[in-house]
Amino acid sequence: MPIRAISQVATARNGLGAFIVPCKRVTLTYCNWGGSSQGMRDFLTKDLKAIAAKHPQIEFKVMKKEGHPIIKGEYNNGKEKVISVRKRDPLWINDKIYLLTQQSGKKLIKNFGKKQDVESQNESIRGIWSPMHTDPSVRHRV
Amino acid sequence: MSILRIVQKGIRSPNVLSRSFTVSKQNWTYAPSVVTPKFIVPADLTSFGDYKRAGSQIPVTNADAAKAPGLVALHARLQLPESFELATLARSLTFIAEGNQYADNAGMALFGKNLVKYYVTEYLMVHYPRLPAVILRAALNAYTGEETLAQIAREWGVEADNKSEMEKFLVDEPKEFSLGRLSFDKVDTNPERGVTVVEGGVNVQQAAFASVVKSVIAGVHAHNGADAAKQFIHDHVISRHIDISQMFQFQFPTRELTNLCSRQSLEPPVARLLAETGRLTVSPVFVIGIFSGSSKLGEGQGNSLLEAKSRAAVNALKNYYLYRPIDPVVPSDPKYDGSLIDGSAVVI
Repeated sequence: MPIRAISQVATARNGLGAFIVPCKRVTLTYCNWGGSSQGMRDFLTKDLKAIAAKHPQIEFKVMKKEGHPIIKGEYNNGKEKVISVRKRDPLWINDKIYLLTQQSGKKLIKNFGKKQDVESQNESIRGIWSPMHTDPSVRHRV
Repeated sequence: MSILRIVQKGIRSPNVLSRSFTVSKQNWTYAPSVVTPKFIVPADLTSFGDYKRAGSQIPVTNADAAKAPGLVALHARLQLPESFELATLARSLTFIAEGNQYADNAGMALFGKNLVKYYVTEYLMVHYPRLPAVILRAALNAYTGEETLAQIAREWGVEADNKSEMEKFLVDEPKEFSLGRLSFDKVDTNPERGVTVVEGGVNVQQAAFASVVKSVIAGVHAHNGADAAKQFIHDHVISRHIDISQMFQFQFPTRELTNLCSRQSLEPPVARLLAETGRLTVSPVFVIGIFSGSSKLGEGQGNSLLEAKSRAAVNALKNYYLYRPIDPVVPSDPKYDGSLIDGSAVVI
């Protein structure tokens, strides 16, 4: 009657030891001709260099592509988030790049805290309340 | 002739409800396998300096590696120190394969694997000194198994080099960009959507991803020393979560506990009913304690006496096996004193 083991795979707790920035790549597309890319072209020439220098852990990829410009964030969990920046000014694009770089890449949860409770990985220290362990003299009697 | 078993994982089309079939390996074009390192054996077998690895030994230069944006970003993401060369990181992303242009990470991965297994083993053995061997092995595997290490590499943002040469040529991609992606022999382990090879062969993709973590650990050890490698393993591997208490599977817990008590020269365990309610109803609850002499070893509750008793025995066994000493010191710590157990001298 040996003890048998049930195999597990250790799950990540990003930030407990090392912190890995979840966003790995931001792709920016622009069109040389289209008017909807005007803001993006301004952004690329003026602001991108400073932002890229501020985030060395994120790869910034600039692509010349026909059509309206987009920005796309790619994350370590394999997810992608795409935002259209058609006819937007550089300040707005800057805000959205900030949004993409600071995200975890997980799906957004609606009503967080209201409907979705946080589930702990650890067991409760206090334990579960038990009626069996209360003093019999003060137990509730039906 | 060995057989690969294939099962259909999900239902993709309504016509194919479920499939389970066997394919002979000879007809199976995807037969995955990891290339093993080949060595050039000198004519004089005793000239040990002349043994060499076959295949490319050309290292990536730091100048080339710095041109790969993925590689530079990965270096920053892992917060590797300046002294960890980009060329080493590029080598970590080269998995052993036939016809590699640059030197592969096979040697680094082997060394890194031994490092990570050593540090995790000492951590487990010191933090849980009473774990049975099977559970210790399972816990070690949960931390350092290929599946976990491959998962870590994915969470680092390592990407496989899935682009073909033609695709790279068409988008006019500089050849250095490929250094930032994990290169391995792209054996298609998932030949068809929804079909997974469950038996036979090796998951090359998983082995390749796992080799990245092992090689980076070896690289940290080479460039920054043993202490940095230990810290890196603690930060990236040991900081992950496993629940050892859920790893136990007892077949006969009460018998196991009796054996344990006799092994530890304790009085044989006795089960005593501590509390009960609704014995004659459809949902009775019993609380049973397991005692050895006057000391309570464990407690369990259940809907029947037998269930409560075996839960109590499991609880007692886990209380024993999952014992954790206060302030554990691992052998690789400078303040470790081998003559002390649990912080005090051993009296023989």
